[in-house]
Amino acid sequence: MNYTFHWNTVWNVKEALLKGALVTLELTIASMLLGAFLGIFIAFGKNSSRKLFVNIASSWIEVARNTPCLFQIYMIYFGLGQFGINVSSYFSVLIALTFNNAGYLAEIIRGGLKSIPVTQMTTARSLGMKISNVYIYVILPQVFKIVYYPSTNQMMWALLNSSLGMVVGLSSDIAGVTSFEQARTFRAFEFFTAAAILYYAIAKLIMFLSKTLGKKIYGTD
Amino acid sequence: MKKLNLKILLSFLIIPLFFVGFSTKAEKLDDIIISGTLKCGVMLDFPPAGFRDKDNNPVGYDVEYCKDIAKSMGVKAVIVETASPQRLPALISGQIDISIGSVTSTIERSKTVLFTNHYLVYKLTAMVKKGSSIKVWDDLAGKKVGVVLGTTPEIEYLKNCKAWSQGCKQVSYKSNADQMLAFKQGKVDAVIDASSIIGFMVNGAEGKDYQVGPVVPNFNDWISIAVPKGEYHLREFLDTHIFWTVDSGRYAELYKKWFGGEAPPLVRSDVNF
Repeated sequence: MNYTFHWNTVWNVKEALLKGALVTLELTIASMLLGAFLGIFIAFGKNSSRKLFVNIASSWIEVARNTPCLFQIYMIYFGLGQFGINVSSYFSVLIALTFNNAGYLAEIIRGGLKSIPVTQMTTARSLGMKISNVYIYVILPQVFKIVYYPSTNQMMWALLNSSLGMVVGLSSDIAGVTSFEQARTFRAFEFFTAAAILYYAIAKLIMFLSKTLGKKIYGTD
Repeated sequence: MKKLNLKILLSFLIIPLFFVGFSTKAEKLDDIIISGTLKCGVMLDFPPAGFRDKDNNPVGYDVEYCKDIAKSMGVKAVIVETASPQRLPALISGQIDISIGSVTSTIERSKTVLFTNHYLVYKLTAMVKKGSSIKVWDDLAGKKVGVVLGTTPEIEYLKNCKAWSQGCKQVSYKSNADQMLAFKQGKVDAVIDASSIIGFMVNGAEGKDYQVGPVVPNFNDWISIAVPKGEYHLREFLDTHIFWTVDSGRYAELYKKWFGGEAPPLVRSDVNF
């Protein structure tokens, strides 16, 4: 192999790489929180008896789940740009990831809602509880437990998808920083490896936190 | 716990496996001459140095330069498209023999590849919309500027913008194509790139609303051919080729054909090479 690894080239820019890791983590967490919030509404929308809500929720889920995330990011940045609406690189990625997460999470939440027997609703209603209270105190707490681990999975996807921000000029995340350093120094394999290790480490961190937190809230699973 | 450690260890062992298999047996120059083909990596989104004509054939200054080298070697030229960030990986992995991709011979990159003597020199310049308030270099302070990730224009902008109180406001795109689209849509107030591509855009189909902006101060973008590490004989050959290209007047001819105007000297009078 006619290539000698210069790892100190990577070490010299460790601050920039760690800052990049923070931006990636920030994008992942923010898009998950926003996505989960929207996902709940979309799940209820799809279960609703009103046709308008069902249509909006269905089309959201269809587009979010059946088109590549790359396309979604590109459309929000350059697609809206064609109509004179200019969203910054960072927010394009955040919006697209949120859109994507909301679509997937809505289906996960809908599955969770379906797994709660209807009898619980009727029983709670017959005890005199309002519908909103039945959801808040009886059904949703159980749903959250069911969707907790599948959502962790979705968070991994959000993490990996955030690297696509590079196509719309996001240069502050891990993929952007390593790509810049790679082109500046020509130490391609060192920086690609560094990027892989950082993504791997963050993914492991998310897994670990989710497991610990899950055990704390829901007991051993 | 033991099981977990083994798993992590294995995943880290897999990464270096990607790099196995890049090896050179004989000298590259011999390999090229014996195999009969010279594979040149050229950027084809960087007109007029490298682009595609209406029949989708690669053309441009870099493309024609590659063909000249192949002729000197007595072999056939194969043009391989490499976008800016792919130039080095393609060279290391042997997908290309040499990179004639308008590569700036920076000190940093020189630690990784061999550079020939300069076969071209660019000036870096901004492009702005017609009637823009950006007249001189410092007018770019606080303006959004589109560059291509990791390229010399980006590195030069980052060097300059540190002095401005408004800070650095660059947006770094993945390719020249995206950079120009963003400029067209008004996402950035200016773009910075080699004067050649800026000139090409301003004279092009959409150029009537654009104009050439201020030049990046105190900077010459010296361009070399990149050769894999250790291939000194190949580099010597290319240096000889570059010398005779200039001496025979072919350099001036190529320059006039693709960039227009008089070809700039390829050496500084105050340096002895």
